[in-house]
Amino acid sequence: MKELKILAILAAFTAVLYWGVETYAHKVFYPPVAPADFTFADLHPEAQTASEVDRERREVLAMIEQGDPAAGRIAVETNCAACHTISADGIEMMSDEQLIAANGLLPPDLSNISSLYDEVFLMAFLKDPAEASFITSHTMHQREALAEAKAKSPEDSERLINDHVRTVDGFNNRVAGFFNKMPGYAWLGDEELANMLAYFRTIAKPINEITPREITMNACARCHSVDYDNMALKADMDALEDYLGVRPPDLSTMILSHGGGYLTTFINDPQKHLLGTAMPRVGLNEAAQDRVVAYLEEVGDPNIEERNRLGIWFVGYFLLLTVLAYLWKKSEFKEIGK
Amino acid sequence: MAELKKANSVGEWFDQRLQTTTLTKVLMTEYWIPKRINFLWSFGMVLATLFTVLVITGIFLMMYYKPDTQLAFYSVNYTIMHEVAFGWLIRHMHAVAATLIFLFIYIHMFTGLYYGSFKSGRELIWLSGVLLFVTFCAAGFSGYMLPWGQMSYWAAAVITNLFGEIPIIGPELVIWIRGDYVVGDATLTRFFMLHVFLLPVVIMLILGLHFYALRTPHVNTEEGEDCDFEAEARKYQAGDKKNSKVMPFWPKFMAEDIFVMCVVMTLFFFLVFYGYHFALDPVNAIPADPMVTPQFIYPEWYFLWSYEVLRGFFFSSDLGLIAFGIANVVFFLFPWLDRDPKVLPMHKRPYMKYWFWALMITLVGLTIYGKLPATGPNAWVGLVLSVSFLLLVLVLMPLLSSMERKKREREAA
Ligand code: HEC
Ligand code: HEC
Ligand code: HEM
Repeated sequence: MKELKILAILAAFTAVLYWGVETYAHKVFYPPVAPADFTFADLHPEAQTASEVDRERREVLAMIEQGDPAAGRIAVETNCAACHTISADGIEMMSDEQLIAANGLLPPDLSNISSLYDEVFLMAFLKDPAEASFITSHTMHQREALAEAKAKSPEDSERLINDHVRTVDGFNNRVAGFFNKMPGYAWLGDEELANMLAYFRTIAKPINEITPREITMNACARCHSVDYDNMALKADMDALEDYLGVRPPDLSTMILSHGGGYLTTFINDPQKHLLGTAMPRVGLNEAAQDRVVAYLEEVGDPNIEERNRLGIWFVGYFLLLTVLAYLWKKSEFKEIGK
Repeated sequence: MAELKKANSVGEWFDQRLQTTTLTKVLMTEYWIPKRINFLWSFGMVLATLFTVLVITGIFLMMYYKPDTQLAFYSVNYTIMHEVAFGWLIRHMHAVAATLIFLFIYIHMFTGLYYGSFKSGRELIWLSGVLLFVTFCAAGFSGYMLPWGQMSYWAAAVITNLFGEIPIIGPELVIWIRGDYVVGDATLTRFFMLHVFLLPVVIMLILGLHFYALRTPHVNTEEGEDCDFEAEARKYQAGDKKNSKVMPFWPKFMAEDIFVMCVVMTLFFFLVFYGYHFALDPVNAIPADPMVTPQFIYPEWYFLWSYEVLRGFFFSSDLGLIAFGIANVVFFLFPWLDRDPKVLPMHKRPYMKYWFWALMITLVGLTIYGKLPATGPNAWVGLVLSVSFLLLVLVLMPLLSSMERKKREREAA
């Protein structure tokens, strides 16, 4: 009885310590953010409610539905092929090396974009790439909040800003200038853009036929390498640094350092976690983004299955030993009346 | 040498040459342990087991680890975690054992404090124990640096920097410790040497001293009562095992220890497979980058309370450093800070029982606040906790214990 009481006290102290040092500290370090939003609601500033966003989204999708793929193909060939390869349709004006030399980084192959990226996002992206990928209004708003915090408590905001020095540099280089190497095509008009997206629909493979590695290559490899899977950076690192203000990290161990939950909200909207970061919102749809996260998990933490399988045996073995040891102890102690 | 008879068995052959029978008696079957103890007395052997786990897994890790700033991160996170068969298992075991051993060291240490096993004849057990604690801290700190992740690098930079605040010799001392002006390759290589060679060897030597120091005073009991070990041992050997107050180390005491060890190992492997995250800081999965300061820098959890004592005096880094210095040596002084020589468990001490739990709560509070950013109200909580800690150990411990002694003497008179 007394021993149980001692055990309870030990357990209670250990639990409080664990809660404080892990659970609570984690909450303070990484305050929870709103869940990932795959409707990209902020692209519809007029819409007040989720159903209004939904209605606007359906309008855009209906436009693409009615688009003319043949006209779209011509528009794409004229406007996009100088920088992007479309291997599914045999459109390749330059090699990857030449494209990297010309752009500093490899503009992604456009073959499968309508399966990988949210089409409503793509529409907004083609009109104004910087606005769509940085949600500048939203970022600006956070910057204002930061300035306000600075006025209130210089000490705290000093830390906030220090935390983001690198990203603020990136911000100045890129976001503040509303700058994206990808030109905007608002001037083509909605109808022509819808034609293009209708065309992309006709050439895209369904998502199930695209490997998670290919998705990651398409969406991330122009800025990030994945060393542990021999995925090379599809860019010139120095040019990338000039462009982004930072050298983007390798993604091999991101699943361990940031965790799947963080990656899910971060990739969906990087500004939520790193205010003013130069990492763009790439606009992957939910299915594609889940596959990217799963891929990063497979690369960064490949032993999950083996762990779960072996663990039961180890724990079971020692559980059995515990029972045997208990019986032996009982029999030894009986003789001495303890 | 006496004339040698032909040995009838392997055991006898060795006995003739090494006196194994006598040795077994001295170390095991006639090494007497009091019966009035509880499972907390098994934590010493639990610690010895976990230390063995650390040594064995450490040897395997060393086969693939590369102490070079260019290679270290990759050798741990790729070679060991991905390529080597069961490398991940070895690394998880090493990391979880390292974290658990500190939890159990604290439990073991505060058990000694609670039952008064640190004074009145048992000073050397306690002192060698504190020495073990300090050496383990050094081993933990040097080991944490080896994967060369962001937290390895920055915790090392921040903690070694502390030595720079020491008057006069500080700046030189930092360079001497780091082997360079900044934490770099020279630092990593020497910390590797410390972690895999010097500190483990020193730990083994101190362990020998710790165990030897236990022989003469024997271990304490739950009630702190005195016991005539020789008389009780004779009673036991005469066959009155039930009424004797003692039992032999082997097999009786170890029967309990092995049971507790099995429970701990079950928990241990559960954590190794399903709950290892607390032992491998996520930030350390990012390669060290001297150009990018992590948002939050904190040491391993077992250093947090003393780190918070340091930060607690936020208005004066000198005061903080003095307090930190005191926190790191004050346990050595406990046998003399307790002014009552009578050995009693805390629950039988009228004032010290409050003191003990106040100390425990203060340490937990310091640990929790030691991880949080020391800004705003946190800084003040840290100050209150740090001052409380110093008050508790430097003022209240001698004061309350001598009041207790006087009270007892008054009541006896
Ligand atoms: C001057 C070269 C250039 C032209 C012309 C160009 N792009 Fe791009 N595009 C880029 C670059 C560079 C990027 C990568 C930008 C970045 O990640 O910062 C990019 C990115 C993209 C992306 C990825 C979007 C995301 O969220 O990840 C899509 C889709 C895209 N372009 C479609 C098009 C389409 C459709 C056209 C034709 C209408 C086109 N691009 C014309 C250079 C170009
Ligand atoms: C146009 C370049 C670009 C693209 C494309 C890009 N990133 Fe990034 N990413 C960056 C930059 C720049 C940073 C560094 C951000 C910083 O430190 O502020 C970054 C940082 C990150 C981080 C670390 C975040 C942190 O909290 O430290 C992760 C994880 C990440 N990217 C994942 C991805 C994934 C997954 C993709 C593809 C879906 C991707 N990135 C696509 C530029 C890019
Ligand atoms: C990994 C390191 C350590 C090991 C392997 C170890 C091992 C042991 C063992 C086997 C015992 C006898 C059984 C028991 O009471 O548990 C013991 C007793 C003791 N140890 Fe340790 N110990 C370690 C660290 C420490 C530390 C850090 C302290 C205190 C600062 C300490 C203080 C004591 C005391 C006071 C006793 C006597 C307990 C009593 O008489 O009741 N030990 N130790």
